[in-house]
Amino acid sequence: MIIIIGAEKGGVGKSQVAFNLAAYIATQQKVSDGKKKRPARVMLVDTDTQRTSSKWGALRDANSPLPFRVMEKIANPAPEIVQLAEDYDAVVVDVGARDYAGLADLARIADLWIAPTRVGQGDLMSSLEMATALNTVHSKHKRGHIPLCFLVNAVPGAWNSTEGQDAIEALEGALPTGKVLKSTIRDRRVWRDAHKLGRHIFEMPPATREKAEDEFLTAIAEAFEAYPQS
Amino acid sequence: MSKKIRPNLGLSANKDGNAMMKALEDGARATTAPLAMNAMASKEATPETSLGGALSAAALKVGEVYDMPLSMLARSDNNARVFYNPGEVEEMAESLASNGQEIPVVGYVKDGSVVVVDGQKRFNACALGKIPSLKVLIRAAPGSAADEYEASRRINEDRSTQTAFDDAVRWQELLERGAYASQDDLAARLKKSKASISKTLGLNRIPGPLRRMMADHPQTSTLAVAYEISAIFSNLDDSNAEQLEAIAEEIIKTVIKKGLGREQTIELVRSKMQGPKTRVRGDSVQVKFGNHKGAIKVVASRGEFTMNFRGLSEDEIEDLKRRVESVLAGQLTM
Repeated sequence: MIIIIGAEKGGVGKSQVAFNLAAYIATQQKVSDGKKKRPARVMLVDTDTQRTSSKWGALRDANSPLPFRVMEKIANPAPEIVQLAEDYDAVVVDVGARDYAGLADLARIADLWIAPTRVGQGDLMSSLEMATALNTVHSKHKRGHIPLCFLVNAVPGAWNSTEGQDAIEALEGALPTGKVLKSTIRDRRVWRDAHKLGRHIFEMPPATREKAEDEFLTAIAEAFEAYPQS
Repeated sequence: MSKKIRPNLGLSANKDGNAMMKALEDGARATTAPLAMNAMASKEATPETSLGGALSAAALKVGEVYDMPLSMLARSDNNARVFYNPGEVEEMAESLASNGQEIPVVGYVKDGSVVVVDGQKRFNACALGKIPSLKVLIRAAPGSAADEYEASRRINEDRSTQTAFDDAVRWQELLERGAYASQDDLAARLKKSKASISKTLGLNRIPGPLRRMMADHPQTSTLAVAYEISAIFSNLDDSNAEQLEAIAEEIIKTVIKKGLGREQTIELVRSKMQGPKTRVRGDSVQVKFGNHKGAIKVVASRGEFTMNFRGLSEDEIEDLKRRVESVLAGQLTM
């Protein structure tokens, strides 16, 4: 399965979602292999010139390897990703800013495309532009429709903030294609702390990660339900 | 807290690789398979044709070195190292391209390919670069995945990069010997910030035995955490040396045991240096209002007076409020 985490704009949490989704699948999902079940094999492909995903794991202890593999492929990554999907149960691709032709190449092969966005006007407009561009290449997808969903991330943390909901409504009203996830992820310190230590959040102390973990997994579950993988 | 969310994402083995390939090929952009794909596609490689029919995996002898095409090599699933620093791999690729491969990688024969057990970075570097083959020393297949993993781990541990403590000690020596004129000189030559040089050298404040203890553990050998611990010794003199060492040792053990990060270490150092807190206790008196029990709590040292009831109805609250107000009003006019 190829899961693309892609957005045009920087700083919306692509690497955060990609890195932690790869970790979740690798540590908590099992696949049937004959009669037995084994942990899922996961490859995280970093195609972003910023290489945030690749560098994330570099911050961790030398003695605790990541539960998934990381590789970098910046130029023309699509053929290699398809090849990797033969060997890995999940290939999570962190896609950075690139031209529309590059995005379209990836859109053709995605089993799921999660596009994180923040609540700022610039972020939302960038999401709209990307959706508009992807809307023209549905026919190239193997199932005739790109499984695209938008995830509102880093919602300001005040308990009474309505910015997340506002962003969802704004996107729903304007998007030419793709679904907007109802679940949002709030801006929480544990995300930054995890990054500092090169960890995924499932490795953070339970009391500090609980809310972030719930929000993240609820959103991921919603994305997978939006486009069931049969 | 609600029930733990553990979504089952329903992953299954990929069965429509061809459809995906086709979708890709239908695209307007020409896509040429990069070299790394050949390495991944080891299952389809035909060894007999790889080197003009000269090389077949079955014919490889243990102990010999062969120049092998990447298509015959496979990655090991039991390598101790999972993450490769992309910068390092790029450097390796450049070095291989310009200097050639000086030391062969090590692999064993399995299912018609050679699984690389030592030299994964060179293998990755080859896949990045334009080098079509690698020299491989063939060894006997390991007894088990665990054997393979442990061997790989030992090799990697030998190569582990130095910690902040190695830097601290060596830099201090070099500065004392005059190999570098000053900290600024050192910073410029190593392309590090002056702050990081000065922080690293600050680790030398930590007494020797504690330093060794910290350097042995990855959690305490990072500069960020070690520097916070070294701050304990910023006011060191003969009178408090023993006490500070005892505190530091306790902190180091806690950091290792609980895997604390920098922020948590700062907090721990702060609380340990303050010593035990004496908790302010208030006096509490039980009181009754109707059938409801409540309490009046007084903390004289803070000038606090609190009255507390639970489970009152709205009418009772109104009644109580009126009474308290009238008492206070009466008192104020007196």
